[in-house]
Amino acid sequence: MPNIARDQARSERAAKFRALMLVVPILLFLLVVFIGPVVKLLSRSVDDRDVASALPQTAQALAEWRWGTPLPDAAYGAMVGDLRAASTPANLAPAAGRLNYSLPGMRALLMTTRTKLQALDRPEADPKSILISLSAKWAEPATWANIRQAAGPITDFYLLTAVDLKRDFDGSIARVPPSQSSFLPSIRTTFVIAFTVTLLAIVFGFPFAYLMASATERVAGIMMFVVLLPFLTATMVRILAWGILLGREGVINYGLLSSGLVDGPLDLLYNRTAVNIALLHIFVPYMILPLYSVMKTVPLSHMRAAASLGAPPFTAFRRVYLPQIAPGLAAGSLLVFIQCLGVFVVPAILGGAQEQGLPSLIAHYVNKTLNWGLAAALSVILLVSVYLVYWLFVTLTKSASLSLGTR
Amino acid sequence: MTQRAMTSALSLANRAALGIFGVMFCIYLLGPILAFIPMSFNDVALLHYPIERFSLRWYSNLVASSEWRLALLNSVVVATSATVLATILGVCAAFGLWRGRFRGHSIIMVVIMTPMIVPSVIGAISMYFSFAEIGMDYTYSALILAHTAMAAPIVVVTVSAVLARFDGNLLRAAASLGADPLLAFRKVTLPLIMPGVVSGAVFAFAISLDDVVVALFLAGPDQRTLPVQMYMRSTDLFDLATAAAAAMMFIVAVAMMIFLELLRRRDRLAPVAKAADSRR
Repeated sequence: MPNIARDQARSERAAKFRALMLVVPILLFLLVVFIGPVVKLLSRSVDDRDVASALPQTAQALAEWRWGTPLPDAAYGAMVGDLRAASTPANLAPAAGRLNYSLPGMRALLMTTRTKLQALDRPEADPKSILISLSAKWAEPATWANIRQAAGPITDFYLLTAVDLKRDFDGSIARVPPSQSSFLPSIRTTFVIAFTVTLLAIVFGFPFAYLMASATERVAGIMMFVVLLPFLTATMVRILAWGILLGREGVINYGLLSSGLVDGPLDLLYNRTAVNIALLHIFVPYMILPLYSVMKTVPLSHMRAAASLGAPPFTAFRRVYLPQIAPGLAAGSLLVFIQCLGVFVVPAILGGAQEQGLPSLIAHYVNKTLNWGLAAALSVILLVSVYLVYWLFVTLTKSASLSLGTR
Repeated sequence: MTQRAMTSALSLANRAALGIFGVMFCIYLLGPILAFIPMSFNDVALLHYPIERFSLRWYSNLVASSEWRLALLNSVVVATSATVLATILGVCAAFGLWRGRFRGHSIIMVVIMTPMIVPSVIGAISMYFSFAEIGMDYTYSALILAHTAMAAPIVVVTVSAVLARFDGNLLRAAASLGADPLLAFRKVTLPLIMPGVVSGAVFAFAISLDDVVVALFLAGPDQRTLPVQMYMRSTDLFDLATAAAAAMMFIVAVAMMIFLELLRRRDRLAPVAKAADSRR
């Protein structure tokens, strides 16, 4: 008898193992193609090894030095040695670029000093006076402090920069003056747009879903078609459609002009309103679909029962209806909000400079300045925001229907 | 007027207002697309109505242009390949998750859903960076693999939804009749969950076809897909070849829509839109 039990347990284990083997491919695939690369990108936000690998002697000579104390003389010799060891400018480029991010002018300083040093005969003899004679910047402690701070291997420079903070040379964290701050406004833009569009999606999606849920089967079918057709149409098509509707020579302006309602074309494009209108159009199905599916399950008799017990319409709505559809509302808001945080193409085509949020900044630092560290730091902020919102909604609602994939 | 009559008059007014809102919102949802598509048939490059002369010249421009032709071909190749890969990976995973009832089920789901939650810009530059390191940036394989990763989660979700309503006893019956697991899956499970598998594949196709951001980073000039080509040309709204391309993508959307509706009608288990289902 025990043999049968053992056989059964063994065959169950085997079945479980076979089942696991079916899940492993997708996990490995996503790990290699998606999750691994994302983690690798995020790790670049704290990675700071370029300077130490290009200027190893200098990094070592400065390791013990503290701001406010005299610079060790060994640092000058180390710098001359490092610069002369760099056989081509390309060897120096990553480090020079990194130092330039935290102190503008460093790239030129390193490159010209290297070129001039190559021409000299024996600069090792008196490195300090030679360096200072090549550029007065070598006499400034800030130059050296910048190198010391960038000596890695990890840094908080990019993450601080991404929230408009900086580390002073004495190590304390300070706020970047508002005139130079560039990132907080973009982060604010991203959140303001996401909030606005989510709110709009509730304001318009709620009554629409309610209409659908209370309509006859035929009408509800037509409404579902109207929601799903744009939903399945490529986003790019919808964005261009709004561009053509709202443009200066577009459909709406043509209509307004030819009907004599306005004298000149209105500027409807490249502003916040255009972005909000298009984003609502793209994301409102994510609000309507989950709302509709919960509204279908709430019998209207509940509201009538509340009314018969003397509840005014609003109280009945708030105390009886709203709690029952809350999971759908939460799921819809989550889906709309999270996706709005990540939008990139809509503001790029329909928005003005004021509408460019975090994703646009990330793309900018990758495409235009190749500042991967900063792009990674901004990605950390965006991703943490997304997961924070996700976690917040899941915790607040504790609803299983919400936790995954009501797409 | 009695109070009752007043209340009903009020509610009638409310309902009328709600109805008008419903119609207006339907116009908002469909209007822009329906206004945009017919412009591709306009003989002159004017963005307004009425269309003066009907013409197919933008379509012939589209077909004549090697750039657009390549983009069209790229979109078809990439979306089809990614759909096949994502469907295979997704169906296997959904079936394994359903069979296994693992302890770490929810953690596995979180991992599988990552590409749907991570903003596409971050996914795009991450994959670009990693593919570039091994010299695979600007290749078809990289783009197809990236789209597979983005599309696989929706297949898992869709197929899991059908499997949740699949009766596991059928597999025991098949086993008792001597079918090995593979045969049982092929002859019993697969036919029953087919509508879910197909709608998952349609969604996967739609995701790949819809993507601009990832393709913008991963595709070189030779891999440009239709949406990327449209993005590149979007600064020139008067090139109605873009409208012609949009019209073609719209037709694909209509086809997918009809296809999904047919699937839903054929099998009540199909989770095309859970909402659409619960209407019955």
